[in-house]
Amino acid sequence: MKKPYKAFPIDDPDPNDPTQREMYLPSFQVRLGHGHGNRSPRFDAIVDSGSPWCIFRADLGRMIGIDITKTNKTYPLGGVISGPRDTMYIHKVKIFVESDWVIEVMAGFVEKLAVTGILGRNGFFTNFKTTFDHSTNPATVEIERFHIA
Amino acid sequence: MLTKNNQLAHLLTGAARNCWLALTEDETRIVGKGDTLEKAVQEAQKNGVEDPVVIWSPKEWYYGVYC
Repeated sequence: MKKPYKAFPIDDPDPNDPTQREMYLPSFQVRLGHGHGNRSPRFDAIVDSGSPWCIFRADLGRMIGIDITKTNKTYPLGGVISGPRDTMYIHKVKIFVESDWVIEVMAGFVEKLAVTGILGRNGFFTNFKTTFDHSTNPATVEIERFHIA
Repeated sequence: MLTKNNQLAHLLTGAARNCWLALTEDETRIVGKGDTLEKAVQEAQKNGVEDPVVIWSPKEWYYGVYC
C-alpha cells in the first residue's frame, strides 16, 4: 500500500520556507484493539522511524479498556531536546492498519503526546517493509507486510 | 491552493485546540469536539457520523511529537 504524505498544520513555519503553512508527514489510518472486541475509533498515526516504539495518547488506551498505569513496564519519555519527561506505560495491543492488516505489538501510552499516535520501529517497522519516497511531490510512504521465519 | 491532500491542514488550522476532534470519514468536516475522546465521538454520532476519524488537536502544531 502506497499513500502520499498527509498535510498537517504548522503554526511556526520553517524559516527556510516562511510561506509554508503545512507540514507533510507519512501516516496511515489505524485503530487500536485490546481484548475481545474493544476497538478505538480510526485515527491517522504518524510513521516515525526515529521512534523506537509505537506510541499513542493514553486516552486511546483507556477507551479500549486498558488500565494505563497498571503495568510494570514503563519508560521516561522525552523529545529530541531536553525538557520535561512523561512516563510511557507499555501494554500489548492490536493495531488494525488501514483495514488490511492486524499486528500485535507492545505499545507505549503517554498522557502528553502532541500527536494522536506514532508508528515506530518496534512493532511497525518490524512488521512492514517501509519505503519513503521523496522523489515525488507530495512524498509517499509505502508498506509491505513481511513475516520473519 | 486547497487540494485533497492539504485540506486536512486547512481544516485543522482554524479548529479548536487542546482537545479531541471528530471528523467525517473523508476528513473534510469537523463533526465533534471534546476535552475527552468519548465526548468528541458522542458529538459526532449525534451529528450523524457513527464511525468518525478522531485526532488530537494540540495547543500548537509544530515539528515535534512530544508536548
